[in-house]
Amino acid sequence: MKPGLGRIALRALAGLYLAGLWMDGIGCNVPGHVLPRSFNLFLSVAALFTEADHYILEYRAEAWVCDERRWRELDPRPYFPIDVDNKESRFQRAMYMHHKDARTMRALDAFLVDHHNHHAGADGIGKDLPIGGVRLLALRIPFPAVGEPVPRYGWRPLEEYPKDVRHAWYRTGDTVIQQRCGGGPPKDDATPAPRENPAPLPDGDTAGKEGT
Amino acid sequence: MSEPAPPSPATMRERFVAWLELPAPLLRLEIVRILAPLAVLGFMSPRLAYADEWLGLAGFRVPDLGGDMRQPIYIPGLPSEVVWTFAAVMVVSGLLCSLGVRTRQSALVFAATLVFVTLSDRLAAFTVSKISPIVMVAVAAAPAGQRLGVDSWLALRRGGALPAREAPQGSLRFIQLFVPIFYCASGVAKARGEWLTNRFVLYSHLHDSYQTSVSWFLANHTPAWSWTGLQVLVLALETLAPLWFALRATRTTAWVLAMGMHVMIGLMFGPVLWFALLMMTLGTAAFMPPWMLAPLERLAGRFEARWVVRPSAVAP
Repeated sequence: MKPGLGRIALRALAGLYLAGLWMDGIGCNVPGHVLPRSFNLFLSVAALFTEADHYILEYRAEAWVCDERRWRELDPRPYFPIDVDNKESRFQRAMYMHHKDARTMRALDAFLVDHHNHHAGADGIGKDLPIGGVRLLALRIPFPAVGEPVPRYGWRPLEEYPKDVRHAWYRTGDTVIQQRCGGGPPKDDATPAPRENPAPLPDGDTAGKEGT
Repeated sequence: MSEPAPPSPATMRERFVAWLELPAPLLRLEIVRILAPLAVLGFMSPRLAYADEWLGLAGFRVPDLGGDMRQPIYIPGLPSEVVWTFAAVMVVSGLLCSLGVRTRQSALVFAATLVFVTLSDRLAAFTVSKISPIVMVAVAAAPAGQRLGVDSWLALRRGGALPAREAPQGSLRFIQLFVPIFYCASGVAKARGEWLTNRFVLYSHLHDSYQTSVSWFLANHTPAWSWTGLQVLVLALETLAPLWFALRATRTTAWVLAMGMHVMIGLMFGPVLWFALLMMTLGTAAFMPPWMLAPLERLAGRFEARWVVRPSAVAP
């Protein structure tokens, strides 16, 4: 019995899907060039855990506390409750995927400030302490050499990490902080303010960590 | 694949088409129909619990980036009441599909909801989000739901005949191709990455927030070289998967190794559990050896025989 047109079309689609999936996995760019991005997204599935981790990558936030006139750690987890304790958290993903994008960083800045000031959760800063801006940073935490005892992973306060594992990606601009608080951060703050065309990333924050 | 080898037609193309048309046990596809929606809903459950943060206006949303490569399409957040209705449609359609109620329709609705959430929130979209709509379309395109489902039970109670045990199933053939092609692409991607140049790629993934008590225990109680051995095994299994699964002599061993790999992934990498369960479902449906399928066939047959309404029991 000869297959009908519908069956032939289904088979052709299935064949194209499988060919596209395979090509995307092996690094062939053809599907990316010929398909709309929203279609191509469904083909980008096979390249998993392709690179070694060289450190534990975590993203964190600090907030400028208006009354105290200082930066304190702001725990973003109450405002990102999905997969809160692992790297599939939407905060971790937003930082991982968009830390070079000033528009997304500004939106994240506004979201965190608004949520703390109006719907404060247990984010480590008192509900009665308004914040005027945020610093968003990456922690690149080294792990022990092969064969040494492996520590249990867990969330630790920012202050427990030395300065050299912190890499700042974004800070609310002084003018915005002044508008929100009536006073800006100290002038010696070297964290980069938002830029439309940020400098290239140092190695590591985007390589091979797409997750599954 | 328990089926006899196809007759030997002249060309490769004819042999391939003959294989596509060859009858195969319906039970294999019913395994996908029953278990895949549950694995997908398990993956979605932390998201569904906070649906208004996920798809609505209550949570953070990446702004419209106007064509940025990391945002294939911009979909604004949904109003809260729409979000919860949408979440209910996703859960109900997934469960109905798993139960075999209006399987084709429920699978298609479930697939449509999965496409939407994958495109709506790239931040919470992972491999499960991306492959599950395809799997559900395959279920919808198949004769799934003819065995071990509510609709098939009702049909038998109404005096219908016992369903056939085998039929040609393009969807099952699709899954039998999908699994090795996925593994192969994944293996080549690994080989092009660091898997051939760094002996401790697997070991290096035991430290971060995916770590579970099992991976922590194993990281501290197994020699480092064992991770290199596993790395070689995984790479060989995945890269040459089409060969291992095509050859009758290596198929069962490849299936056992693949299942073992996914068990390890599920136990050792926290939220990746649902991906592992979905792949185990697909791998089992596609390649479980016939001698393991036979007892399930007998069990399913016993259930169906019990459901059949005997002529004597039918009211005059």
